[in-house]
Order: sequence, then C-alpha cells, then structure tokens
Amino acid sequence: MRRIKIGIPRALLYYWYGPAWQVFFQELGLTPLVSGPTGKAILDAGVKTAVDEVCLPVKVFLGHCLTMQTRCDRLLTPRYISVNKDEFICPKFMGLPEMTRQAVGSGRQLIWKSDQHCHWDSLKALPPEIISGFPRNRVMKSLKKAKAALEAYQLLMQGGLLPAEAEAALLQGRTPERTEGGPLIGLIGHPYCLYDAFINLGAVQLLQGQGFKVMVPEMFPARQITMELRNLSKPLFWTLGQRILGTFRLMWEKGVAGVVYLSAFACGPEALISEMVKRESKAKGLPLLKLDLDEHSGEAGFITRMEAFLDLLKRKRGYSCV
Amino acid sequence: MRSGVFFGVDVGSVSTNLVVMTPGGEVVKKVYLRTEGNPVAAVQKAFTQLGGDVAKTKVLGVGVTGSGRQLIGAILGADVIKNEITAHGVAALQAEPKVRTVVEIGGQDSKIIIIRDGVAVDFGMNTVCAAGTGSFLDQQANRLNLPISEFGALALRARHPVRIAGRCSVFAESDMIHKQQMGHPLEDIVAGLCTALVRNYLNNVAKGKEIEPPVLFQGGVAANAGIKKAFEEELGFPVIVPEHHDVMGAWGAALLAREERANYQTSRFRGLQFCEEEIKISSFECPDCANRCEVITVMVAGAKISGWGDRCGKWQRINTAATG
Repeated sequence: MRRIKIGIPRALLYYWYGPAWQVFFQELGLTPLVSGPTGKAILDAGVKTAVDEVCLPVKVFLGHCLTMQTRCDRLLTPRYISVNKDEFICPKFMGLPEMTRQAVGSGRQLIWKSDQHCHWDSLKALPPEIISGFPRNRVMKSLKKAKAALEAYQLLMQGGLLPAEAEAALLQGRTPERTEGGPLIGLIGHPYCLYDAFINLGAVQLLQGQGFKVMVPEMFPARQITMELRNLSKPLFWTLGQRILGTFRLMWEKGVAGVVYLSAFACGPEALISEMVKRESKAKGLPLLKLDLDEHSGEAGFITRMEAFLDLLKRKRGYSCV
Repeated sequence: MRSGVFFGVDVGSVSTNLVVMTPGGEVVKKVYLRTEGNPVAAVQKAFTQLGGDVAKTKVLGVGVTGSGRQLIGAILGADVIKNEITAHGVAALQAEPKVRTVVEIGGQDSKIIIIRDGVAVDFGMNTVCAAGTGSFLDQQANRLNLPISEFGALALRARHPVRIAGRCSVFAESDMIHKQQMGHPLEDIVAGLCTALVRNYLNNVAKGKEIEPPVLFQGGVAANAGIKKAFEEELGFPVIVPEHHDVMGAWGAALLAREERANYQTSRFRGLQFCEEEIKISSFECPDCANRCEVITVMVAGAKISGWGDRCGKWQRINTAATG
C-alpha cells in the first residue's frame, strides 16, 4: 500500500515545530515530506500569488505550498492562534489556511490548529481528518511522541545549537561540527527571518564567517523570557514580539558585542517591538543594527551595512580587523 | 615616496577617486574622476593620470572601497576590500582625531558615522531613496543649466531662500519649477534646495542620532558651500570640511591597507599594466539550481580572474584560486 505523503512547507513556524510535525506523521504511518530550502523560484511564486499586504514570510510560505503541492497528497497549513496563555500569534497567521486555499486552490489542506493550551496536548487541535481516520489511542501515542520530540528539539537549541543543527541532531542523529570561540554576537528577529538563509542573504553564515559566535532567540527557554519581561508596564500581546525583546535583554546580559535585528518588511507587530528594542539598545549602550528584509532586498546595501557594523564591533573591542 | 606607497581607491557611483599615500599616512597625490557608468575605465584612467614617478615606486599595499569595490578589487589585485562606512570613519579620524560626527554625502548615498573617543559607535545610511544625495543636486544643476561647481557660490548669494519640499526628489523638482514660475530669483531657489537637502538628511539619515561637534563634512557634496552653510544653520555650530574631503573614502581605504599590512607580506597589486589590458566583464544566470543567481565573471586577457554574485560560492572560489 502506498503511504500517504504529507507536505510540510519549510516556512513560518516550521522552524519551531517542524521536527515535531515530522515525528507525528511518521508515527501515524504517513510520510512527511518537507519542502526544500527557500529559493528564487519559491519566492517568485509566493510574491506573484499573495495579496500585497502580507509580509514577506507569508509570501514565502505560499511559495513553498505552491511549489510542493503536486508532490504530496495533503498539505499541512497550520492555523496559529496562540501558543501561550493570554498571548497571540500575528493575525495574519490565523487566516493562513484560508490564504493558502485562495492561493493553492486545493481542498487537500490539513489544518492543524494551535490555540490556547491545546497545541500539543489535545486532540481538538488536530486536523479532523486525522482524528476520524485513525484509532484514537494511536493518535494519542503519536502526539505524545511528537511532544517529546518538540521538547528534545527545544533543549538542543537551548544547549546552543541552531535550529537546522538541532533538527539534524534529533532526526538524523547527526551532531554538528562546531568551531567554538570568537566574540558573541546576537541575532534577533522572528524565527522565519533568521533561519531562512535565502531571504536573509545568509546572515548567520555571514556572521560566522567573520569569526563571531552567533546567539539566537531559540537558545533561550520561554520561561526565562517571561521572567525577563516581568517589569514591563503592560504585558506584550504578541508571543513572537516578546521573544524578540526578551532575548535582546538576555543577550545583553550574556555579554554580546552587538545585536543584529532582522525584521520583515510590512510586519505590523514588529513596528512597535523594534522601537522598544531601539530605545533599550540606546539605554544599554549595546550596538544594534536593524535590517529590513523584503523581496527587493538589495544585496549591496545589506552586505555593506552588515560589514560596517561588524567592523565597528571589532574596532570597538580592539579585535583585529580581518 | 622612496620608501614605497599605498594606493587607496574609492569606486563610487558618481566619482572614482584614487589617492597615493606615504607610509606615514600623508596623501601625496589624488585623482578625482567621474565614474560615468564605467568603473573599470575610470580606474584605468585614474591610474594613467598618476604619471611616471609613481610607476617607479614600490607598492606596499592597495585598498579599495565604494560600491564598485568588488569588481575593482579583483581587477587591481587589492589587499584590502572594505565597505565605505569603515573607510570614511578611518579617514575622518586621521584628519581630525577629535571628530565626534562624520557627515558624508556622496553620489548615490549619504551616511552619518557617530564616533566617540576615537571609535565608531553607530552609523546610518540613506535607505533606497536618493533625495538628499549628490546625484539629485547634479540633476537639478543640469536642469537649471548651472555648472555644479557654481551651485554653492550661487546659494551663498541668496537673500531670501525659498522653502522647497525636500522629502522626495520628484516632488522637490516640481516644487522648484513652481517657484521658478512664480518668479523667485534663481539664487533663492538654489539656497532653498540646499536647505531642503540638509533637512532631508537630518530627518532621514541622521534620524535619532546625536550630532555633536566636531562635525566633519566629507564626500563630493562637501565642496558645495551652500550645503555647508545650510548644515551650519540647521545645527547651530560650524562644520569642518577637511582638506581631502573629496577623496576621504580612498584615503580611508589606503589607511586600512596600511593597518592590515601585518596580514599580507607583499602586495597582491597586479601592477600598472592593467591600464592597458583588455578587461571583459560578463554576467549570466547560473542554471545549476533553483536560486538562479546572477553571476558576474571578470576576464583579463582571456583568463578568468574572478567571479561573484552566487550564493553557493562556486564561482567565488576562482577568486582565491587566481589571487591567493
């Protein structure tokens, strides 16, 4: 019997939940199929199809859906509403399944809901086809395994691995070769801006290539971030925004030489968060470089700013300028 | 020059500059040329203009900066290829060690560098818009049939500068035409344009940055006395235009080449014969993967010496094979 292929777009919160989704479908006896890294063809497809107002990462998501839909039987289009109590994910992500349906035009979507409390603990969040198509205890068992994988993945990242490295370690048992050392640099932003090497022009590699040790938000546990933001006069509404501001503070405490902030052009919630980060960086005297990502990102301006910022950090600390 | 020289080249969108620097950091010769859309020809011409006495001296190192740095760096065999911000900062510190703010306005971009205690701590660059840069002034001077060199002097003669919308170069132009049609004298319009450009710079590039004296004003536009005066009026204190304001980027590149001298024993400079060589640049879309990178390759005398523009690094590897 042919195993049903579940397409998983490598976009948006794939960088948080991708490994767990893969484990879940595998445990159920299905074949998870993850789309390849973003490339020009994917970006072009997404930009052409998406409505104007959405941010670049949503366009990238649609591009992944469009280019992989013929290779899979079902397409996973998560509906993110909330992953923590009293916090929310961007409203554009709530309507993601509908946006995808408009773009892809297929009735083959699997909608996995992520609502308050019930992301990994409840059957209610799962796509209805899964609940009706498999015995209940088998689904429960698979969900438990997936949750364990998610926790293991998060622990690997908190131990200092980048998401791609943690995923390889978890699913393929490949431990990364790392050359440790070098001054610390913080890289903040939404996960889908930081780990998509195509839309950010290889920012992580660029920083590593210049001899920096890169610290990213996923290396900090959620608990620590919540603690860090206790003193805000009003809790932040957006989970993703919280992570940016919270990890910015935590990175400062860890003594990073500077922070690079990659933001998605046309991201609403970020308009507020980036201003808060800017003000705090000024108060702390921590060098900050904010770069906007959009589909017109000129490589020249991006690289020039990045190089100039790294030179500034190196000169400030008296490192050799090579 | 007996002990050898450093070359610094700044390949900008509008001008290409070359300086010859002694090991002591002194500029002994400078060339300022229009790039005219052909950076290779401009650099060849600049080196040809240096003359014979430089050709005989030992080249200790070559630094290249500017938006064409990669291309020209490959052709020259540069020892250091650095971004414009670092180069301008280094040169400003050499010209005025106490500098706290660098205002640089070039052809296509303008920047601000904040320096505290001799170290750059922050910088800003104009975003995609070119209002408030040299090429906009150039364009308007052209439209008014004024040589750009007379622009500043004319602005200084203004008695009642008019207010021009400087937020966008397209709107600024229509505003200027309107003011002309209303009958305002040319010098008042030109002075108004200078103020508009400065206001745009301060609200856009320098937004949120603390501009503290001493302020060094450099880049091609610093030659414009009208802009300098507009800056002084807006800021409320004098700004310094350094002697080599027009070639600060090139000077900075030369200084960086000197600074990193410890990392290379002999210069990779390919020699002045490159002025006569036939240099071919071609670009193509690499078909090997879905990224479809636009790859640039440089051929000198039939041999491929460099390539870039690829994300995978396949075409870049020939750089190191050829020069390293």
